[in-house]
Amino acid sequence: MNKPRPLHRRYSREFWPPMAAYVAVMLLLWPLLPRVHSEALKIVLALLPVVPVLFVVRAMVRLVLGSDELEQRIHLIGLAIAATVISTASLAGGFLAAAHLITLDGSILIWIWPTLVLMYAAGRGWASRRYGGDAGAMCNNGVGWHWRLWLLGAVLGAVAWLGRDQLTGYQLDLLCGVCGVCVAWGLFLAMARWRRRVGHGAL
Amino acid sequence: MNNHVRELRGEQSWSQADLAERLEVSRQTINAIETGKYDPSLPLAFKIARLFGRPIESIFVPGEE
Repeated sequence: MNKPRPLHRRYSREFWPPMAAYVAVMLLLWPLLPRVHSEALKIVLALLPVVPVLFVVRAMVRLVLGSDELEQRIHLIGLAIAATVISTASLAGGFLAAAHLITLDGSILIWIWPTLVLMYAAGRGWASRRYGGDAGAMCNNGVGWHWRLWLLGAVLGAVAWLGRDQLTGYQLDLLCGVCGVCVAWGLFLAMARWRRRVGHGAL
Repeated sequence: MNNHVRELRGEQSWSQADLAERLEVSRQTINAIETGKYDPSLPLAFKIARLFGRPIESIFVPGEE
């Protein structure tokens, strides 16, 4: 991995603390919601996770604004892919719900932002490869993707473990499933990286 | 569009990272320009021309239509 650029180092500095705060709020404060009776406090507590997310958005906006012209184009392609996929999926889901073929809970809205970010990252990686870069070139903060995935898997695993008494069976299965996928995907990337290094060493 | 950025960079014995730093762009952008995967904007093309001290048309040449 190349040396991280100052822009990416700044992004890491601005991205990870609010992300950690978001996880802390979700793990420590959000579970208190059913025990709160004051309507005003309930609203504050329910919207509390949005505050660190706003800082994450700020970090992302500053990353895009500080990028060069090719990087901005790649960001735009990533965003366009994410917006297209999410809006089409929402439309399809909306039609199915309107036709009473499926039942959608309002809390499904929580998934829009993380899915949008994931699709954006995937689209950005794809566009970056088209221009001869790799998926990590757009945000090389010196931390390998396998470590990021393992970290995400560890956080999801911790959430599943801590919330095992409060979560429904479906939510628990979902968290454990995504955690497993992150760990396996990280393992795959780590092995691919190791094979590349061995290959370069053999030449 | 074709260009002579790689040759000009080689003459200066600069790495892609060196050129990227001088132009205040990413190394990926330099690589994409050199391999013809990306055509730079006019301001960046002028910046490249100014850095190498050559007219823009001697660095960037139109490809076949």
